[in-house]
Amino acid sequence: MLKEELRPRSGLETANASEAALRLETALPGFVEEAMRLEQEIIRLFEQLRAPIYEYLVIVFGHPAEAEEIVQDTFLQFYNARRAGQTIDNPKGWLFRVAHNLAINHRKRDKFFDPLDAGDFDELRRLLPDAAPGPEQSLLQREKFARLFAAMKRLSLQEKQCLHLRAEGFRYREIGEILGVSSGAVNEYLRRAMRKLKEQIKEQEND
Amino acid sequence: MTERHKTEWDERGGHTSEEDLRLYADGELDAQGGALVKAHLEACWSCRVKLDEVQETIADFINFRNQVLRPLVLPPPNNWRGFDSLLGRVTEAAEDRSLWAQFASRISRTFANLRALAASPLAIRFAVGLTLTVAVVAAWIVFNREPVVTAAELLRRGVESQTQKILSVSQPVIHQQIQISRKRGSLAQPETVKLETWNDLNHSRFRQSSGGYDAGSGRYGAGSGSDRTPTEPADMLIMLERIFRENRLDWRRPLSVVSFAEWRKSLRGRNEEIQRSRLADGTEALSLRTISTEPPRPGAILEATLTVRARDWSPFKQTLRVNEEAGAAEYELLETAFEVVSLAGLDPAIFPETQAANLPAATPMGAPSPIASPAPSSAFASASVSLEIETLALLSQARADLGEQVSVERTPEGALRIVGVVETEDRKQELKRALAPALGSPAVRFEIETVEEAMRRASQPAASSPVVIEQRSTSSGALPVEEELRRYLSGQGRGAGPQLDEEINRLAHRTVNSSFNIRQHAQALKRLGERFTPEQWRSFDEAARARLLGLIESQATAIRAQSHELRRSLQPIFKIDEPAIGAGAEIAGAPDLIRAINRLVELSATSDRAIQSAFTLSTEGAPGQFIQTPAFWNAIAGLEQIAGQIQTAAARLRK
Repeated sequence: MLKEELRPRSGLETANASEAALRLETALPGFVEEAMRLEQEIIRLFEQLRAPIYEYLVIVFGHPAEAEEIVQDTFLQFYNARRAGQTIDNPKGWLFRVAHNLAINHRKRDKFFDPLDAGDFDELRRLLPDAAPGPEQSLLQREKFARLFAAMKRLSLQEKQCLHLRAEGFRYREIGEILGVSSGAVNEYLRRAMRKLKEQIKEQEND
Repeated sequence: MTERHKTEWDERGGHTSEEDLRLYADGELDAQGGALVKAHLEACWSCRVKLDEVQETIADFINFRNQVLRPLVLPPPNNWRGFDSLLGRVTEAAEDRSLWAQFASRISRTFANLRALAASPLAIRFAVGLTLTVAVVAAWIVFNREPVVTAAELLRRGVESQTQKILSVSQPVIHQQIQISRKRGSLAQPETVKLETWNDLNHSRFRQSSGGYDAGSGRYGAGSGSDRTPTEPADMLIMLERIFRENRLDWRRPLSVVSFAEWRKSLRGRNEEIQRSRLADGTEALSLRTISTEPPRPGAILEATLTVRARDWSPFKQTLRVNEEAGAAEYELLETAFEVVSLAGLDPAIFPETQAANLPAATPMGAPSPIASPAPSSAFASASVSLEIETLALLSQARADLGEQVSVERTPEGALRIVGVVETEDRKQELKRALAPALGSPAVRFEIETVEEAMRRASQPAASSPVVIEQRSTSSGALPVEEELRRYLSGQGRGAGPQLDEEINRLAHRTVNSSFNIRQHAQALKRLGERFTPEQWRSFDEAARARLLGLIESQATAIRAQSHELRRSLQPIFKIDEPAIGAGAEIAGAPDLIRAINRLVELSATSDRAIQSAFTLSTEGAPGQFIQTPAFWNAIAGLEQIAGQIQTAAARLRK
């Protein structure tokens, strides 16, 4: 539990006794440092991952205020788990999984915001802030988005979740762990999702 | 590659399936399968084109996600404020760690001294051993503490526990007995009253009785209030009911986690702590103490503590410290009984079919009396939707629709109650005159009172004209954006020294108030949008529909003008260029309109929080920064744009 590494010693300290004392002096605050280090680790992870987790929750589950609370709660759980001595090999996956589960437990019946609730893409486009990327989308691009929008509306919740998690860079196995399903199931969701997207785009292109 | 894939491979004449191409592109094939597909792709043109198609679909999705979906995600409403303090609270695990840090540094200092004295190796070795032992024990204590529960977790578990109890019974009726005591000032004797409530969840019926008050009068306070003595329990309950209403607590569930959580959520700033304690019967309890950091307004809850049993997370005690005219008062609600019973097994006298005006006078804690229908004589006069809209329009004309002081409620029998508290008799009469056209109907009741009346009814000494309407104030001292304001104003030649300070304060004041105003308009708009179901919208007659849309239009117009003004006044301060705000496309029908309104409310809340934290002193986190981000400027420009769309749409749909 105590830190093994020592601070580089100055050449002046040679006596055995002094050495032992020095060893202890560095080891003790090292323990305190351990706790501080953990705190720093959480803060770093929080700053790095809060945005993608938050975005995932808002896009998939709606309700920004709730999503914000869930993200914070998730990181506190992570801290507690780490402090209890749990080793977490894949923090990003762990955090997404816990946030996902919290969101499911928390889920309100009334979604505050779901872009895919909009009647059509034009309606959705009105909500886009003008300064957002791509306001001057070409007509072609806009048509493509309109088709994708229609296709996204046809996806099941799991299919959407898989697409967004894959876009976040998770492997099929990790997505399975986050959603609590097998990687075979993830493959199947993605297969269907991709087929629906492709069909919709193609079908209308041929119109 | 699996057996199935191999078979399919053969069936396809040696071409790769689309699924395998995606698995290959995703790096999800095993080594052997991957090598097979790779070799095939090198040889086969058509499969390479198919792979490109897979990649193209992926690219389309990613573009859509990045350019459409993600820009629509608003920044977190609280801008992550509070996380640092939350984490701090968890990590500190009370004072243990800081104590430990003190201890450690003292030890290491001691050792530095020892070393300086070049003490004997034996003494050192002994000290080393002793200190290590202490360190290991301390570490063991620190790491084996039970994880501290967070406020959100406590509330969530509390809600779950209550929900489970309710769901386990068909046709649930919550029956609670609560002992309420109030203490004003440290010397005063606490006054106590017992309250018993029945809440029929499926039929939204609610009955209540209290020890020591005359249930025969129908409702406390509804009868002649003048002959009551200050200690009469009914007065305390009236006061408490008002406090509940003004603070978003649910009076129908005086002791509920959901209601507590709603109040907590409504706070703009709060400090919290969780304490663990042991009750007299040996069971463990957890208390969540939430202290509001908002500027205290009269009637506001300054702090509240909710105590739950650690065993099952069920709440049993709630204390409220309330900012009353005569000073802070403490209310304690202690649950003496809680059960969820089925309506079928309930004494029919509790919820009689008709509103009984002549219920037998109740013995203390006896048969309950109706509370929802204060005036049985007009119980059957129902107001039409048109009348409801007309009433809302009249209130709006009198500018009584901003804030939550005056509202229009529907009784279970369908009558309209205009309830609220206003500052002065003049304002009350003004509203009465403004509402005269609606008040002609027996189905509309005017129940607005002045603060003085409300206080008198509650047997409170009336103080000099207290302000109840919510106001914001900027405190003196350095604001988070002080530097920008100073630079801007002095660049404008607005003086120096105290005069400049004065200017800064004035500008901050104006900004905060104008932002708050926009938010109030947005909320008024939301209340209008939410008031009627889609079915009702469809069934409106021409005139009612036009009237409602007119109301929506005027709110949207106000929001558009005010947010334009606000944005234009802020841009030069933060050196932001004028954005291009398009008209946006048309809003087609009522459902789109509601969605746009919801979006507007979200945007107004986001920009208001940013402004609030930049232009006022805050106790939490590192405020003020959000206003410097593009997200904020998008929100405030979006506000104007969507308000414009709503305005246009409402005008068009009206015709």
